[in-house]
Amino acid sequence: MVSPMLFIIAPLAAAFLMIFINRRGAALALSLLTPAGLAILGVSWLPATLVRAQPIVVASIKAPLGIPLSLDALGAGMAILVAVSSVLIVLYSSSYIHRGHHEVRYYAVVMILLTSAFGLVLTRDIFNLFVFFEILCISSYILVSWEQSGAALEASFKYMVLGSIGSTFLLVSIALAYKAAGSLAMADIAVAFDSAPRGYVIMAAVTFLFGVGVEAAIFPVNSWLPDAHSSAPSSISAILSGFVIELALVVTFRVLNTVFAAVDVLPLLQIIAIAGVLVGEFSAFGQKDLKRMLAYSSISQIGIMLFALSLGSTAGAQAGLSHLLMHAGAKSALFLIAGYFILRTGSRLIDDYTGLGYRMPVSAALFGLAALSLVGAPPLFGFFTKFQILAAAAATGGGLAWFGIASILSGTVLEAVYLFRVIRVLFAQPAERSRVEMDLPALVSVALFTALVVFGALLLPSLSSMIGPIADGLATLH
Amino acid sequence: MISTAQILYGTSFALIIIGLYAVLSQRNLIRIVIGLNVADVGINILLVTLGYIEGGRVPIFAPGQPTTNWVDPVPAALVLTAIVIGFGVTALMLTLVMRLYAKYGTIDASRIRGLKW
Repeated sequence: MVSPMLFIIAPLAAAFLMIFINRRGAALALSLLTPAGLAILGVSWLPATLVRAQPIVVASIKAPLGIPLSLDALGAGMAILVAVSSVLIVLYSSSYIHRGHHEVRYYAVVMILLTSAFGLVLTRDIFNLFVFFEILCISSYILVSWEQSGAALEASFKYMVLGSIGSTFLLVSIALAYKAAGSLAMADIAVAFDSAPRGYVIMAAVTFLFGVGVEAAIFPVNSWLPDAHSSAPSSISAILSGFVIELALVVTFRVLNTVFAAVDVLPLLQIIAIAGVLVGEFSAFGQKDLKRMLAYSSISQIGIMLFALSLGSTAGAQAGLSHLLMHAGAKSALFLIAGYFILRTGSRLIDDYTGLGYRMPVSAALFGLAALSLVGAPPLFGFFTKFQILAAAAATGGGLAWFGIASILSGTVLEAVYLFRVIRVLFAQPAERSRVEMDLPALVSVALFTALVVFGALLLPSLSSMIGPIADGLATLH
Repeated sequence: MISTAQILYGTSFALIIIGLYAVLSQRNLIRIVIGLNVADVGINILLVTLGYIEGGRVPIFAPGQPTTNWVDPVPAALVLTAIVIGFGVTALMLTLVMRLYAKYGTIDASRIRGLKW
C-alpha cells in the first residue's frame, strides 16, 4: 500500500504544479484527480486502521527526533470525507467560479487547504498541529476574500484578526505544554500533564480551546463565521461549512480529550455547545440573507456535534460523528444550491427568490431535501443522527444533558420554521417561468451531496461496524 | 534578585497583553495589524525564553567543545517557524488593508460598514 504521507504531499505538489502549468484544464484535472486518488487511498487504508492505528515514519526519522504522524480510523474516515467532498466541490466550482486568469490560483489555494486538512488529522505533534492550523487559516482567509467585494474583504479581515488572536493563544498553550513536557509530541505532553499542577494544565487547556476554537467556530469565538461563510464564494462556503469547521472541531476535541485529559473539560464544552446551539438558531431565525442564515445554522450544528462528543459516552461520540457526516453533506448541498440561487437572481436576500422553485425545480427540490435532513425529518439521514444524539444524551442523564436535549429540540423547531420559510418563498407564485436550472457539473455535484443525506440512513448498518474504532480515535492518541 | 528569565517572561506577557489590547481597542486597521505583530513578538520571546539557560552555550557540535549546558534548540526552531508564519499573515493582512482602502477610501474600522466587533 502507498504511504499515507501522500495525503500531505500530493495536494501540495498538485498546487505548485498547476501554478507552473497555468492552464485551466490542467488545474481542473489535477484538483479533481488528486482528491479522488486520495479518497481511494483513504478507503484502501481504512480496513487496516480499523484494526490498529498506522504510524507514519517520515524520512525514517523516528519519534523523539522526528515529527510523529499517524493514521487512525478517525483520521482515515475524516480524510475520506474531506477528499470526497472536495472532489464534488471542485466539480461544482468548474461551472460556478467564473473563468479568468485567477481561476488556476483558486484551485491551487483549495489544494493547499486540503493539504492542511489532511495534515491536521495525521499529526500527533502539537507544533505541527499549529503549523497546519495556520496553513488552513491562511488559505481560508484567501478564499473568503476571493471575490474582492467590499463585504468579502471585510469578512476576510475580521476572520484574519480573530484567527491571528487565536493562533497567539494557541502558541501560548504550546509554550506551556513544552515547558511542562520538554517535548512537542502529544503523547509525551499528555504524560507530563498527568503530574503537572492542575491550575497549570487548566490554563494550557483553556488557551488551547480558545486558540483553535476560533477555527472550529466554537461558540464565544465564532463571530467571524457568519460574515466569512456568507461573503465567500458559495463553493468556499461549502468547503468551510462542510468540512473545515467539523475537522477543526474533531481535532480540537481529540486534543482536549487526550493531551489535556488531566483536567475534565467536558462540562465546560457542554455548556459552550449548548450556548452555541441556542445563539446559532436564534440568530439564524432573524436572517433575511440566505447564506448568513445557513452560516448561523452551521454555528448551531457545530454546537450539536460538540454537545454529542462532549457527553463523554461512546454512544455520544458515535452519534456526534454520524451527525458530522450528515451535516457535511447537507450543509455543502445547501450552500452550493444557494450559490446558484444568488448567481441566477443576483441577490442574497430570501425575499428575492419568490417563485424560483418553478424556474429551478430540480435545484429547489434538492434544497428542500437537504433542508429537511438538516432539520431531522423522519425518513432522512438527519433524523437518525439527531435521534441518536438525543438518545445518547438521555442515556447519560444529568441536568446539563437534559438542558442540552431541550435546547436541541427547541433549536430544531426554530430551524424547521426558518428553513420552511425559505422553501415556501421558493414555491410561491412565480413572476416568470423561464427555466434557469443549474449547470450540469454543479447539478451532479449537488445531487450527490443530497443523495448522501437522503440515503445516508441506509449506510447506518455498514457504518455501525466501523463507527466504534472511528469514535475511539477521539479518546486515544495512537 | 530577579533572573534574566523572569524579566523575559514578564516582558513577553506584557507584550502579548499590549498587542491584544491594541487589537481590541484600535479602530485604525494598520494599528490592528501592528498590535498583532507586537503580540507575535511577545510570543516569540516567550518561546525563546523557554529554552534559555543562565550562562548556557550555543548548541552546536564542534570538536573540542564541551557538549554540556546547552540552551534548548527546539524553541529556537519553533520561533523561526512562528516568525515566518507571522510574516506571511502580516503581508496578507496588509494586502487586505490596501484593498479595503481602495474600496472605501479609509482605514478606519468604524467607518467601514461591517467591521465592527
